[in-house]
Amino acid sequence: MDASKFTLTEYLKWKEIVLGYRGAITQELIIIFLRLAETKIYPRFQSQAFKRKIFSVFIETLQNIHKYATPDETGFNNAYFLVREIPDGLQISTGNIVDTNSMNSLKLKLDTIVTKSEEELKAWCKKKLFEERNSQFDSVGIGLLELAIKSNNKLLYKFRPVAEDSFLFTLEIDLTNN
Amino acid sequence: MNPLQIAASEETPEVILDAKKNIFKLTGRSFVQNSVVFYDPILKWFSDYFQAPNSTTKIELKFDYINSSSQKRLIEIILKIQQLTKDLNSVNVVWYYKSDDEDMLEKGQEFGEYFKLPFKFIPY
Repeated sequence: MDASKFTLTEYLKWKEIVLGYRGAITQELIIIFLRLAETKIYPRFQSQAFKRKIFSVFIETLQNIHKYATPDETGFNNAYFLVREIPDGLQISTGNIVDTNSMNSLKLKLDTIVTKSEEELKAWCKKKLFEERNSQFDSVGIGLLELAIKSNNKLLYKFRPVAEDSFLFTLEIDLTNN
Repeated sequence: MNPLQIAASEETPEVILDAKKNIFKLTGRSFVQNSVVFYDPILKWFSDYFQAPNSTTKIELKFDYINSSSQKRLIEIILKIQQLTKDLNSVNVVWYYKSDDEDMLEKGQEFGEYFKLPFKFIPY
C-alpha cells in the first residue's frame, strides 16, 4: 500500500475495525469467529447480556450467509464479515452474493421487518417458530427477526446488482450496549 | 432400552437420555449447521422411549444458547413427546436459564405457553 494515500480518515476507520474477513463462510469459521469474539471483543464490554447479544448476532448473520448465499465459480460463498467499534457498541456488517429469487424474498422480509415494533417482531418470531412447519426458509426468516429484535431494529440493508441474476446483499447491524 | 449419550461440542449440547437412570437432559449450546442430522436421533430415541415410558419423565433443558434452527427441532421433539404421552402430567419439562439471561427465560416461557406439558423455570 502507498502510505501517502492512506488518509487520516481511513486510518481512523481502520482503527475502529476489531474483526474483518473476506472469503468463504463455513461452520468451522463461524466457530473460530466466536472464539475470537471471546478473546478480542467480549473483554471490551462488561455486560454479560451484551456479550450474549453479540454471540447470537454473529451466529445468525454468519449462518444465514453460509446457508443462503449464492456460491461463486469456485463453489463457495464469497462474503465479507466486518466488526467495527461504534460509540457504546459494535457495528456488524456482512456482504454476500444472492440471486434474484433470494433478493426478492429477503427484500420482502426486510422491508416488512423494519416497519415493526419490538413487540410486533417478537410476536411474528413466535408465530414463525411455533406455527410454521417444514418450510425450507423458515429458519432464515426467524434469523432475520432475531437480528432485528437484538439490534432494536437497527438494520441497514442494500442490494446492488453485480451481474445478471446476481446482487451484492449488504447488511449492517448496530448493536448498542444499553 | 439403550441410553443415548452425546458429548458436548462447541456447537452442540451434551445429550444424556437414559431411561434406566431416569435422566433426560440436554445441556450447552446449540447452533449446529445441520440441526436435522443432530436432533433426529434424539427424536427417534424419544419415539422409542415413549412406547414404554417410566412413570414420570423429567426433561431437563439447560441451554446457554439455542439458534433458530435448533429451536425448530426442539419444538418438533417436544411436540412428538406431547403426542406420545397419554398422561400429560407424567412428563414435565425443566427449563434452566442463567439468572441474568432474560432472553433465555423468555424463550422458555414461549415454549411453556405453547405446549400442554407442565414447564418449570429454574435460574442457575
